[in-house]
Amino acid sequence: MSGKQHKYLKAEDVRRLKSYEFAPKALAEGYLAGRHPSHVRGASVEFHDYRQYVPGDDRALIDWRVYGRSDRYYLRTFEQETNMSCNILLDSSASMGFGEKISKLEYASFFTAALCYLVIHGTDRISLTLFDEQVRSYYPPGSTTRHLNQMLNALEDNHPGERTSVAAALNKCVPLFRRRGSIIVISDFLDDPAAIFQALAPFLHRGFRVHLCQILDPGEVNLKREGMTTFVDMESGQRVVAHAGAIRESYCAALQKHNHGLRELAARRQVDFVSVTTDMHYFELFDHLARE
Amino acid sequence: MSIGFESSLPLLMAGVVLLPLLLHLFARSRPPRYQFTAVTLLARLVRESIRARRPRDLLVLALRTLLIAALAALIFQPIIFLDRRLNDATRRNVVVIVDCSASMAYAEGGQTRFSAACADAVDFLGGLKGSDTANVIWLDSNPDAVFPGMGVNYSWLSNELRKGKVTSEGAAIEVAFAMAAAMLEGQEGYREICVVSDFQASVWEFFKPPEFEGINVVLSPVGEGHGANVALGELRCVPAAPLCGEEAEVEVDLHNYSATAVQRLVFVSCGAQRQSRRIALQPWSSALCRVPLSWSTPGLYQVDVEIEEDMFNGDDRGSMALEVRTQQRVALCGKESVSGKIWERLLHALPWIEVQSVTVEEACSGGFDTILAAGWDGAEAALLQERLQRSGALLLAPGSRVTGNALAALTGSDSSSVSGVLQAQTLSGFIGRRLLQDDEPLFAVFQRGTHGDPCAGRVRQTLHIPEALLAGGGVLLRHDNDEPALWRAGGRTQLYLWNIVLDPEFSTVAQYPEFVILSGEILKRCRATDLPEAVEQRASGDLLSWRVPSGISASKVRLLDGAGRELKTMIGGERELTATEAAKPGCYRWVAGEEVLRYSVVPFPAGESDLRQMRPDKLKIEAVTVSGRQARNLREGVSIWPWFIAASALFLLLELLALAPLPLIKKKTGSRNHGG
Repeated sequence: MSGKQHKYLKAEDVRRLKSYEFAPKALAEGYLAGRHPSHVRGASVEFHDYRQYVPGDDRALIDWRVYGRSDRYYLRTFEQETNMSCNILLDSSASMGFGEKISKLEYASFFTAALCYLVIHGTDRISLTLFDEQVRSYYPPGSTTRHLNQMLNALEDNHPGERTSVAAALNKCVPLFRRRGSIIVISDFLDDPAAIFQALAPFLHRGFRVHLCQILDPGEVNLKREGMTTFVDMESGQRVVAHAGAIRESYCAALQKHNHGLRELAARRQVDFVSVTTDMHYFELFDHLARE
Repeated sequence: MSIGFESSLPLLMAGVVLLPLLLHLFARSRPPRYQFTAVTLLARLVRESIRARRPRDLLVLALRTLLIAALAALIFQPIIFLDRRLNDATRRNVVVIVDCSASMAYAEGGQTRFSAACADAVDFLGGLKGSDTANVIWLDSNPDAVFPGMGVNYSWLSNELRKGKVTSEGAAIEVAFAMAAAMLEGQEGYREICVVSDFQASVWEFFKPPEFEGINVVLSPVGEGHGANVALGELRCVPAAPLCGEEAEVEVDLHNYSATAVQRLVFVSCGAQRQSRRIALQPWSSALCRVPLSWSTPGLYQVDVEIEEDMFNGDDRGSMALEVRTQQRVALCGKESVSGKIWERLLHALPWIEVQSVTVEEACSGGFDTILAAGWDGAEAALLQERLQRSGALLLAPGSRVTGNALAALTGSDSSSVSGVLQAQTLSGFIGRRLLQDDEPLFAVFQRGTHGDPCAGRVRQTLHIPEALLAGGGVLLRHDNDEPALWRAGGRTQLYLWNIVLDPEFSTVAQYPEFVILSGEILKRCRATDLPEAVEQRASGDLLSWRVPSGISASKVRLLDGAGRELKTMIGGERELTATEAAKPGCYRWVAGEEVLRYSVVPFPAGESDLRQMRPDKLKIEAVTVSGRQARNLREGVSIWPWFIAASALFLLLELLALAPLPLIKKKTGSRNHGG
């Protein structure tokens, strides 16, 4: 890290992050030997399984004792430990600019910065994708401090953009994420849940470990308004005139139902889903990921 | 129907008040804008809820509009006029006839019909303005008006109505209407006679309304329908003037004017004598109660009759007065005839008879109990007929020259087929008679056989009396040649026809003692039923008066009511004493010292006991039937602003109910299929 004081990564956070270690349970697909288990069989001390010899296999891996007993060639395979790729997708649409004390984007940027530091500090690789309706910027996986600085600077320069479409962004990220690893999507997820999980399907199929971090503002959770209000959509500019008091209860119920749908779909696809509000400290997200 | 406003000034003030209100209502404030994220979600919620909210919003809008309208109308104090003509009349002249007859004392629903009528009458007078005139006529047996003519002091009239009292009198309806019409005659403008009454059927069904020109009649019935009542009717003594030691019967008519059967205990008292009878009365029926009384000394007696009191107690007691005599006074006419002499000998033989030989004219004018016309030839038939109609009693023994017309005049028969002198038939031999009715009380004395045969004696001459002359009565004895021997008129007419020849040349009847017994029985029954001279009957509401006979100092004569209270009297010309107050039902005594000189009996008006009402529209009179309140509303209009207060409160309540939070309509389809 350079001596520059970053907006979203403060010294006290760095100190606090030293007690964390990013170690997702999903198997990684790295090219460097590292701390994370991999599906690629390699030379390690961790026995994996036996399998029959096929021409082309390394004959040094043949287990001769088995041959002596069964007169067949079997290979002993070992799990290869490798480094992990963590891909962060940060929603930078206009809706993420909503917030009374702190915007959702700023809150997400704090979490993203801390996560980047944590991953790189563990000698893993991390990539960052800023998106709204499109992929606005993409930082390929890297594990260097310079790479971290680049991402931190990008977060500082990041501003709420246009409409949001998590599904479209994910679709465009499919060719970008070549190696298996973790995907952490940070968004308010006020989008169509079915489209989101449809877009996540290729990643899940490829074995990615997906984490969905929903960030909401208390103001939009509880609709803290009174009287007749003209609600103007931050992305589309759509206007709706309604009495906040009259629709509060139904709005909260509908939002809860939306989140319940997200949570249900996530559980069905074995996707980790966590929802926080900006009045909570973002380290609670780390605690959640640690529990996972 | 039209609508007016009590107050017009608030109309301008209302405009001032309403202007900012309307500005407030119609100046739509722009809601503050709020940048938000989940607007799509909100739009969907609003879209889903608008189906439920739009009707409610329209309802709230309608309720608020009605609320504002009701409040605005409240300020103007609107009045609804059902008939504008009455209100537009330039000058109104109203005569209110208030029924204060006895039946109005009946209490229904906590108040008497009379008090309800007075309240109604006050309403009729309500709303009269400066140039209007009014008067009130009390409808009783002698209707009188509060003012001599039409007046403008309405408050005085209203005050008189509040102080009015019901009387125990009947109702002279025609007199009251004539009085009202006379008052309204010559008055300019709208003229109206308002009648507030219970429209008692027994009284009003005989009312023949006079023809009015230009006078509107408004009938206002009070009362709630048929009032149940048990009443004493007529009181009689049979005989009317009993003799000392004779057992007389006091007859009491009882009437049940109700739809239920009742029992009443009838108390009859006269001096020390007091008796009671329990009488059962079927619904809407009458009964006759007979109570035997007897007196040992002659004189004037007061008999009081009571029944148990009911809701209408004015007719639950009554009194009568009678004179007990020592002898029955018989006037003998035709003494000169042969049969007259025999009758005279007979009458003198009876100790309880005081006989006087008089002319028919004298007999009819004097106070005789019985007139015996012996050998009557048809003279003075009109006088005798008139005496019979005045409750006289006549034992008629026609002679051989009597005409059919004269006899028909007394028997009340049709004389067209019978004219000329009735023929006396002389027979070759004697014939007897026979009883036609064995159980006839007249012959009861002969039933034991100790008094002989009522048909004793024979005759050989009979007067031929055509049956057509006897249609109104019954033959008691008949000759063997089928000619009637003894006939009695039907009903209450005390007329006996003696067709038994007494001339010794043609008859042996007078030779038998049975003739004395039979004649005595007939005379005992054939007695006048009119009041004795010392007893008079007056109508309720009359001023009692008596011309004091000479020999009695008028100043010493006092008038006492049934309770012994002395009533004020004044001495008029020719020694006539007159009470200053109208008489109420009861028995009044004219006394000098301790001696009772005369009784004045005032019975309860007979027609007032039947409390059944008739519908005013059944009267043959062109009239409008409304209550006083309705008439007042017709004139003054009905203030409907209190209804607007109620409507405002109702609208406000409904608005609060309509604004209560409604649950959102939730889609049963649930969430979309999220790719599962």
